[in-house]
Amino acid sequence: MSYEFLLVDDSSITRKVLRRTLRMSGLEVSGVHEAANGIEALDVLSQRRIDVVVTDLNMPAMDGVQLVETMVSLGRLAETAVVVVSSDRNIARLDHLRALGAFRCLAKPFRPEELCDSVTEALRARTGGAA
Amino acid sequence: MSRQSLAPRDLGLAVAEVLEGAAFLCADTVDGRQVSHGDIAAEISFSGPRCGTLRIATSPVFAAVIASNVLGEDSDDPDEKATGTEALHEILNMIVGDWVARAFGSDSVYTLGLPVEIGPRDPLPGELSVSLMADDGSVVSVCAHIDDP
Repeated sequence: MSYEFLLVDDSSITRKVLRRTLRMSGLEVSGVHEAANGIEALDVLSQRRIDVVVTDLNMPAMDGVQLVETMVSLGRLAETAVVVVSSDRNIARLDHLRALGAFRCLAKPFRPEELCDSVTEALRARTGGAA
Repeated sequence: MSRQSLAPRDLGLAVAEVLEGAAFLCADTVDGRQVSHGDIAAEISFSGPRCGTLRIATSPVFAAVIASNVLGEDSDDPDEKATGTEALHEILNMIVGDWVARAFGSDSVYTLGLPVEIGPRDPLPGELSVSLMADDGSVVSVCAHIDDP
């Protein structure tokens, strides 16, 4: 099975790093889409099936917390796993995201294996162990 | 939290760990380095129980090295300066997240701003300031300004 990813970060450099990490992860990647903020991410999500959203929190226009909250209100977390990769280390904010359904929250700078493990576990949890 | 309790060591550790973790660059703190007028610089705000800004400055050449290391590829970018500036912004974003947690605790709710490009300038009296030198002799300076309560 192959998977569609959406990388949400206002830094194009970070999106490149995330894309490269996924490419080297060994996962079957059928598509990697990019968005620079939550509004762009919702636009992509409205147009195609996405298996995993990897999102930053601190972004212009619509931040990552607002993105996840909107995805919850639209019922998108049932079909799309969310992994947060952010500089934000505030415990209350990260607990809020986990309570909303974000699978894992990683701190930047992240190690490639941390992201790969988190994405793999998120897919496994979403598909009941098939990832 | 009082201003006196903010340790330069925490800021230096945050910078060193981000440079190593994100760009595979080892750097140690050095004393007395002034910001060069040829440096590129960026600033990010933070707000919460304490408010202020964090500034970073380094040479365009070292910013390009950071970008190259973060991306894991040799630089053949025709717009190397822009890529270096963006890498510096992302590094600053990581440093402020790390440092705010170290300085004020992860339990305190802080909102981080977005990095913006600024002109380089030396630290003002009372600002927390550290400079770190990488193995190749390049220097990164980071300065924290805490607003008065």
